[in-house]
Amino acid sequence: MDNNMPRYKVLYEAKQMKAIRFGLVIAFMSAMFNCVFQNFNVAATSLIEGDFATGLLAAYVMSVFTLGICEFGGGIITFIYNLFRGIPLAEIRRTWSVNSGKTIMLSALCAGPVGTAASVMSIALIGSTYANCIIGLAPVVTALLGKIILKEKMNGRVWAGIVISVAGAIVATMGVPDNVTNLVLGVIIAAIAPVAFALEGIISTHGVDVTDPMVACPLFRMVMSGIFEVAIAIILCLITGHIGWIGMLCGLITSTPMCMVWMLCTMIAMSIQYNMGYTSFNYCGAVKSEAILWTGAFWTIPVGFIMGGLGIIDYRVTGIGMLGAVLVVIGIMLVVAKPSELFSLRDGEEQEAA
Amino acid sequence: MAKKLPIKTRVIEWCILNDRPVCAHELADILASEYPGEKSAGVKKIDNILDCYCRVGFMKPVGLDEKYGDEGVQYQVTEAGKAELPYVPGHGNKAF
Repeated sequence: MDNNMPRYKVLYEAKQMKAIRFGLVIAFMSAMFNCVFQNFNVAATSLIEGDFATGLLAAYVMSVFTLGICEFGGGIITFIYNLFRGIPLAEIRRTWSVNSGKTIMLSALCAGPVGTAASVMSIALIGSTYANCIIGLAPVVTALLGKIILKEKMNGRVWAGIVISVAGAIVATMGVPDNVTNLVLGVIIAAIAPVAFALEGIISTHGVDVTDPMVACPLFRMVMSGIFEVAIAIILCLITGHIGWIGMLCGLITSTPMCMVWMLCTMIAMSIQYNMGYTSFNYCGAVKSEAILWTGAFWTIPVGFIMGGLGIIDYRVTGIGMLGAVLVVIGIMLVVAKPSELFSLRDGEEQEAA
Repeated sequence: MAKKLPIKTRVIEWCILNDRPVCAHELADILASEYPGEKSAGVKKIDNILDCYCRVGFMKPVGLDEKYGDEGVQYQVTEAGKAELPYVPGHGNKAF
């Protein structure tokens, strides 16, 4: 530390360092809960998919419909939590009036019906670790868009970290367990997700620039997104002449108590993951937050083994899959190796002057 | 009466319109009458908001208000922060 630094700057930097550590912790926790909610969601849908229609369209409708219900429920859970934190319901109405906050609904469309549905479907097709390795490419796309649109700061180490993560993702997909039978289709569907999630990160970071992520996220990204997803599922069924599927899904969910339990678990894990993720955008910026959030390839292993051990999901992984996941994590560590870089996230003369 | 803004939006609006150094304690006192009894408009929350704005370059630390000791770090809006005014309801309320 510079001994000639004015006292206010010393105090400011100490405060920022503490806040950034907190931001990094919540970003990592968000990454872990990402795997938890995905696995709970798979556990819930696996209980009803056997009695539901077959085919890709049916799988998509089921994914989007159940996600919509879970996101809506997760948003309500967050509002209740906010009340305990002293954030009044009036703040929701106030946040609704800010148009830049509403752009989060656009990011919700990218992430929900497209990104999350693609990731859930790909996890069902090729397994949690392999799907997450491809979905984990989101930081690369985000880094490119973040540099161009948000003017976020990048350096050689950050780029190197991102490249190693991509290498890890490729290595992990080289070894596939015997139970994976739809590799190509799964990989194609999984590849849609990183583009959608990168767009989500960039648009959402803009959205929470002047709004509180803990209010904007449950309002726009969870409740509104949930409504959109259910509406999309219904419209899709209407267009394709399968409107009976919606009634069938509702019947299957409500008549399977364990499905409802897993969906409630999904809602809780989702509310933790989404809100921590959106808050981390405020602390670490879109590029670095996305890089941490998508350490999912690593977190799927301990979470997968635990949930597999508890009998919630069927989880398998190969040695090369684990090696790829470790590479992904090494890359991410390089991205966030210097927390002080997070003092000032974006390019600009003003920050240099400060 | 003007529509009440979310607290985080109101903080940047106040800082842009007044364009002078302010610390979290002073700003919390000023905004207390607008958000009576709301925990989300307390010193800790406003300090957190000011720090968030600093990280994205909308605010910068400029001094220390001795009245509040170590908690008196003062912030002032930057040019990048001033450019956010069109995103505030009542000043354009732009989406993008």
